[in-house]
Amino acid sequence: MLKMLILRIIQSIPVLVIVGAVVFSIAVALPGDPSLIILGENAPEVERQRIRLELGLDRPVLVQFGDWMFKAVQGDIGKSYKTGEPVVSVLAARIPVTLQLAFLSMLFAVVVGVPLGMIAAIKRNSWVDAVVSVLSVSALAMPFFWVGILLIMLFTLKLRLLPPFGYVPFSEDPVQNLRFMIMPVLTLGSAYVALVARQTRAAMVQVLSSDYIRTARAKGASELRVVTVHGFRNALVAIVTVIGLQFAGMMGGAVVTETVFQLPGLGRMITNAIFDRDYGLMQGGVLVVVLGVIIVNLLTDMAYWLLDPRIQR
Amino acid sequence: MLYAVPAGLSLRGWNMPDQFNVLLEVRNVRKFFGVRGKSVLPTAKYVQAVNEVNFSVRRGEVFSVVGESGSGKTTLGQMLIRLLDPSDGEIMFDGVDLMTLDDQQMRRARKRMQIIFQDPYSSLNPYMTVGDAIGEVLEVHGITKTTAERDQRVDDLLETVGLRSATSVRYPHEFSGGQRQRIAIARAIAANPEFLVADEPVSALDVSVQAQILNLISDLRASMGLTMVFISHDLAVVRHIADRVAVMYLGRIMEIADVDEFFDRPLHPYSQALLSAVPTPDIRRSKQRQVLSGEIASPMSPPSGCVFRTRCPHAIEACAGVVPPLELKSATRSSACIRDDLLK
Amino acid sequence: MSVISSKAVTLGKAEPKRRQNRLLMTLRGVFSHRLGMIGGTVIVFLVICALLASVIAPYSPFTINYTAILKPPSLEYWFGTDELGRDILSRILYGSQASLQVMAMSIAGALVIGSAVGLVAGYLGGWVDEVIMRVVDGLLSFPAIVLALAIVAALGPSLTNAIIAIAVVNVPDFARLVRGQVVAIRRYEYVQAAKAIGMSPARLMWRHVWPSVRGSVIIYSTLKAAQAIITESALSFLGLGVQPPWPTWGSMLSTAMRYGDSWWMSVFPGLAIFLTVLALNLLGDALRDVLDATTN
Ligand SMILES: Nc1ncnc2c1ncn2[C@@H]1O[C@H](COP(=O)(O)OP(=O)(O)OP(=O)(O)O)[C@@H](O)[C@H]1O
Ligand SMILES: [Mg+2]
Repeated sequence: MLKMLILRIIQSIPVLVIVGAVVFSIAVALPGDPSLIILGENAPEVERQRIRLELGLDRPVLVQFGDWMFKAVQGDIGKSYKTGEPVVSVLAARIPVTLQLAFLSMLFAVVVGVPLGMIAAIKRNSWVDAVVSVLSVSALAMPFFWVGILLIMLFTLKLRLLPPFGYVPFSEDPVQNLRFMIMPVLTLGSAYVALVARQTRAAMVQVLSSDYIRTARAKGASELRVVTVHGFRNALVAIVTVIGLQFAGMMGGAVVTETVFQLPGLGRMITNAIFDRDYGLMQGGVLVVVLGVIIVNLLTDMAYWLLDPRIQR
Repeated sequence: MLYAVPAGLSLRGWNMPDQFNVLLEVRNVRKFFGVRGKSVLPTAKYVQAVNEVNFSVRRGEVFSVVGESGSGKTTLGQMLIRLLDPSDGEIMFDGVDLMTLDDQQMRRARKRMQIIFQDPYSSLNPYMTVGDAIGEVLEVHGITKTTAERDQRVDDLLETVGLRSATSVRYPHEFSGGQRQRIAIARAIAANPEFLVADEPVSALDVSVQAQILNLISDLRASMGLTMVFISHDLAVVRHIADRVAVMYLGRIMEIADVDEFFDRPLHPYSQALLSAVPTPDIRRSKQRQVLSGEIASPMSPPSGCVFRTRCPHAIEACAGVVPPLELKSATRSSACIRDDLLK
Repeated sequence: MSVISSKAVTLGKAEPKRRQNRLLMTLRGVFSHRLGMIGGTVIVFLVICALLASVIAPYSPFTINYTAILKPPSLEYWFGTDELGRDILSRILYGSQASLQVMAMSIAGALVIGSAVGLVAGYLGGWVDEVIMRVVDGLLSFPAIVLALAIVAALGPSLTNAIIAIAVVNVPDFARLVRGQVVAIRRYEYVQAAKAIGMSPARLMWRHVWPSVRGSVIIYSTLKAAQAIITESALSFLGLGVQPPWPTWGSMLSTAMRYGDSWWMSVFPGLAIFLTVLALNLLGDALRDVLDATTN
């Protein structure tokens, strides 16, 4: 187990270097002179020169990259061009919001998707199965921002139940925080409900047609019992699969969802940073998102390894 | 007799390895495959598929390689025409080490050497008509200039291997295994090669068609003057087609002998075991029948010394010491055993 | 003694069959596949709408009309009008041009480049493969929209740059798919046989490896095209796609957010995206069913 983990971490190192290179080169390729962004349009040349030297922009690009990577490994990913704040402290405030969104969305997807998938599997080829399948095909074809707008139209404008935009940290006001989170979670979760339901159904169908289930059924166990008891592990594998394969997609969805609902998370920070041409901040944001994806992939592999008896130990 | 052996070009009885008569010489060839372990280090283990193999093939002869599954026959055969690169050693083809050729030279050299694979189901591209599969060889080597010329030559080739020319517009899946193997043979001879590796060309076929394909191969080799390396695990087939036989075990050659000599008086204990496993109507021999005990050892960790010693009925302590070299025991045979004196 | 002449064997059937057209077979399969047929029809319909937008559209998508601001759907304006009195239906029709163009060109680009990269990596193997696949892994760790955003930010928002960004984002996916298939196919003896013939690697890949990979690449392109539509509209929604006054479905939705009471402003452009994506997904699934059936 530990060996596996170490091997996977070692394997991730070249990937991390490449990710670093991509993030760095995007920032280099971005238009606009950082000194002008930091100091404003009419900054005197002397001041601009000082900033350039401070940022090390006079050095060859490769040296800049090496230096940037070296610092990044130590946790120093620069300062915001706009506010001068260290990027790390800005991120520290944003990450919990995105994490909460992602976690609640996944929870929603599991709580709704697993039962749907199980029902579809038990009643396969019935109208229930058909409805679940139509729902998931549809959910997967709806862009997040459209779902978000429709939800706002329904819950805020029509039913006047929920506040449209805004955010309060959970620690300050849990109830209000959750009210703000409902629509974003429904938005981001919708597609994952579909994916989880699909995977669960496939896993369950496999379980139901296997021999030991037939035996259990022959002994008089009810279908539902059989599915819940024997299918549990397979359902877990299905969920892990979705999380593992789709986490990058979910982070992308978070960018859009946070923008629609104006949640102060990582995603909106990245889009704002792009518009503000605050590339220092953007770089840090993208780096953290990708790092998150890599870590989640690592954890999914581990989870697979624990869950799937077919994978050799 | 089951199989017709063409008269004429048989070179049985030639014994001196005449430098001018050698088309292919294999010197100290090895092939190790790295095995990805689950350990942290990338490559921890190797499969020793072929190890320290030496032999030469004379022009016009059929040199047969026999051995159990996994003994490295295919690996060796593929190295002979450089479909695989040896890890070590030299493959001298007509005096030139194939490994010294660059990509372009090698591609040109391929015109002179060809291969027939074991499985006619996977050796033909399912997306290509038979005519295209054969015609491609002609195009690649610029043998035919126009499409009409190409089609004509393809039809001729199909006829040579006993198929109708109308075959050329069909796809492989429309043919039986035997017919597919005929197509593969037509492709192999299309560029008029001198040298042919046949890797168990009939073992995937129904017994009823095996004889037909073997006859075809025999006919072709006689009419085209082909030099052949014929890989097989079926000793009956080998007996009828080969001029000389090499026995492989765990990547090493145990014995090389002229075919009659080999079947009459096998020298190496492994050869004897192999032959005695073949049911023969010969009463004299059947009483000496010995069955190999034990499993073939893993090519990842072959036994020390003689690789066969773990299953050899004559093994002594000294067998675990050094790897017995393949030594000339008479003018026409070599064997790799330190105890064969005792077995004569 | 049984010497069987090898010349006597002929085929059972005498008639030479004409070459079977695989494309035709596939098309026939899709036609008999109900959901695939629906998906295909919608796509064809959309393409026609995009091509003929200037003919079909009842109004100009640009003309501002202050006398018809935020009108709900009616016989005059089927899908209503926006905050500047422009006809939503016309804008959706014109918007399909941008969406379909970005989708088609970015996926075509990603397909060509990604497949080439995958072929090379899979066929050559060794360190070339190792390096390419690490880069692919790296790029795949980026959420598509984040990478696309960053690229568009670097290049500047425009139609061309949206195409480039979405193409780049999809290259690693195609490369990975193709590489996996090539590694599996490389083991087939017919690839070895082609090499034994003395064929150049380029020709070998084109004639022997690519045809076996092609099918799955086409299925995958259809599914990826669906995602490209979503990514493009997300870029436009965030203001980094095709720039105004050109209408795009995404930018129409981002304006609609400010006019929540005019439900038609958000419902119809959203439906356009939804139907396009749905149709592509259905078509992709149908193609997969059909190709699975024909190859077995
Ligand atoms: N590409 C490869 N990677 C790793 N090991 C390999 C590879 N090819 C062959 N081997 C191993 O090398 C050994 C020899 O294989 P080879 O196919 O040459 O045997 P063979 O004598 O042709 O057997 P068969 O009669 O089954 O065809 C086997 O142990 C096989 O597992
Ligand atoms: Mg073999």
